[in-house]
Amino acid sequence: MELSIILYIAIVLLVGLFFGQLATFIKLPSVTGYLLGGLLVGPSLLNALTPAVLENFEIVPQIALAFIAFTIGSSFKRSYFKRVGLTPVIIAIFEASFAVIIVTSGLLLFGVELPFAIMLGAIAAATAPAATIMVIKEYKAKGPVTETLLSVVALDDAIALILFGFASTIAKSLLEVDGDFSLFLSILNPFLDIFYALVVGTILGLIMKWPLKLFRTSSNRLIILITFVFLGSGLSALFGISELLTIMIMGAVLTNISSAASSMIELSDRVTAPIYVMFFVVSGAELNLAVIPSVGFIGIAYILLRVVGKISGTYVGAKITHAPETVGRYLGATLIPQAGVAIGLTAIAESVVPMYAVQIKVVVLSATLIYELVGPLITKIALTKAGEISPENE
Amino acid sequence: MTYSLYIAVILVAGMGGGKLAKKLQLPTVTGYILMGLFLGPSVLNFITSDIYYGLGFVNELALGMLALSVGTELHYRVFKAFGRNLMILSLGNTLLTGVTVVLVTWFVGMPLQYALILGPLAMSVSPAGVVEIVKEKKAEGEMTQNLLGLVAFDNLITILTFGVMVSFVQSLGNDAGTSGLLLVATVIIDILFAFLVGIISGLFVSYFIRSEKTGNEKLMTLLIAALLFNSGVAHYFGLSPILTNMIAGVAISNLTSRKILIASLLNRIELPIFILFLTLSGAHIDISIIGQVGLIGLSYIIARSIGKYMGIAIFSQFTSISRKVRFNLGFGLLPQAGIAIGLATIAERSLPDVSGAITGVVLTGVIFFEILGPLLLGKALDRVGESKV
Repeated sequence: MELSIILYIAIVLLVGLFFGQLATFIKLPSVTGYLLGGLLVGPSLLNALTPAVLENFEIVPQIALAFIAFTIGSSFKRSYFKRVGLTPVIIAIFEASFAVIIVTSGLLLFGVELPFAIMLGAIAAATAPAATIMVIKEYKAKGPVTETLLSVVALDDAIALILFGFASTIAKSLLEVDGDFSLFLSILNPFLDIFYALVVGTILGLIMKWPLKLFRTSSNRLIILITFVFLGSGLSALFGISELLTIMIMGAVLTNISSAASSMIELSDRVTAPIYVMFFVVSGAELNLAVIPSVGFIGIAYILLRVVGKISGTYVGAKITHAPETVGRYLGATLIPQAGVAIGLTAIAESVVPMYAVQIKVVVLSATLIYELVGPLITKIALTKAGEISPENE
Repeated sequence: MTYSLYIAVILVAGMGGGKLAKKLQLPTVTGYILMGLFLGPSVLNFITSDIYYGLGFVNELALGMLALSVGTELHYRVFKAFGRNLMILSLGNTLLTGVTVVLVTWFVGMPLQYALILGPLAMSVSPAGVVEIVKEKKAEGEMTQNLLGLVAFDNLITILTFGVMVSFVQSLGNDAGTSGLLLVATVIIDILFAFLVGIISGLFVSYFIRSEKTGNEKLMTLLIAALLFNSGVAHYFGLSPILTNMIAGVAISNLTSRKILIASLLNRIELPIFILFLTLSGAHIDISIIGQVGLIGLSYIIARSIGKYMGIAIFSQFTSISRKVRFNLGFGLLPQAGIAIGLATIAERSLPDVSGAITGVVLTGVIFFEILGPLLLGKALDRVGESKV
């Protein structure tokens, strides 16, 4: 008899709790524990969670990321932007474009063909906010780096999409693979996607204000929150737009027009713990150890160059905007994690440059593996050094 | 459409139904169920039966949470203070209900072996129906206290009797008498096994609650993991998921004496889960079944109402319960929903020839009891003066 999915959920949760605890015990972020636990029971090692079982968890990342996006969006207060001006925007543009430029040019120097280098560069811009947010929450980090980080991560998604659009257009025109390929459209497409996400997110955020006025008990408001987060997630899947972006915008709109918004984060924290644990264990299980031996020189170069790009881009951006010194120094390191979005872009990249499909996949998957496992720890160290994690929370 | 969209829509609709019911001075539970009925295959067919089964996870979680919180009511201090009363009332009303339902439904034409299954099914009480009303009315006092204990006791007795009855009926079909004994032995082993699973997971959770180092977020995750584990293991070995979780609840409550903590942990996620669960339950009700089971359904409803109400009214004479409560408490045991439906499905699976007869009758009963039951309970609480709103 096949184990039921309920039992698998229980197992996933217990594995997460156990390894999370273990990680805290040796002063690692719990997220790292969840991911390692997942990796251990996943197809790469024990295969207790087989790929077929993992398919049943498809909805979990979607929901987890939706709540994370809402959390990020809610930090976008008008008062914050009045205070810091365009700083996060400029830093985000710099860190993303530096990652693209440095990865691309570095790989070119090592003799990689241009279209291949451009596609890897394009993927390098993407950052995965989930693990970083978890670290911030776990250690109750507070301060300029944390603050800037939240908004940079949010903008990063949009900027990465745009840069990816440009890069894949250039790669395509270099290859001239398609006869009927339109330069204009492929540049325009990411902008359109972002525009749609803006529209859907704004509408949802505006509507969400009304039921919050009507219902005041926290149980009722929790239902409203869940309803809208699920709506955002479902609608973006329906329209094929970025879930992260749509829901971030929803959160950002709401936080600026409704006084009830501040209670939303607290409410979401009440219910999301099990979802996040599941999400990271499942993400860990989906990490692929088998790609490691074939990672090769290009993979290692990609991993290192992207880190250089993120850190130097942040540094330059912070200098230009006169951001606090800690921001320039430590923010870049917290942008290292890369996961779902990058893997999603890989699928598109493979269709743009089919002859490099296998290599791109190997590079991105092994990079994800490394970044996911090391990223949370680096974030923790960076935030500690920046003095934003107080010793008693450490 | 994706499941996330369905969940969003069902939540909004259920909440709207609840709000509407409140406007009409009906219990919100009734609103959720009627809204579900409206969205389900019986009317709009927005929640198709595929969607219902796709979201089956919600049912498991909700039933597990209910069983666990019902179990936490059975604390040894409750036994000490009210144990004698509860024992008499619970044994009395379930016995009377079971016997009346078996006899009456058999009399109006239900084959005896199915009537024997309907008996224990009729004993069950919907914790959701009762708990929601108690919360809504902010009820407190003698009746409320006894009612919550009774819900736990009645369901415990239901599950035990049901297990024994199903295997008894199974053995009726067999000619070899020895296998009948064997079946009863299997049932007893199953029940003991369920106890064991519940106790182990209860011990496990209690350890972390008692250590007091674990934060509430982690405790909640742990609690959910434990109750899904109980349900999952129960399904795997063919045990009752309600029993495993109830026993876990009993274990946690008695080992930690932190009933309130458990309640507040579950309370964080309860409402959305219950709205989904009750709206989905409503959607699962097939209106046309009422016509098909007709007379038997009607007699089941009458027999169960008499059994529950008279059971309490008669047997409370042997307890120290006050006069006012004696003639109102019975109404509190009328709500019936998930547990009855769940057990009916299990019965149909274990007795292959039934083809919907048992579920049909139980569903007819649920339509009646789940819509009117909470209403009657609310009124009864008002009458004894325990409503605080």
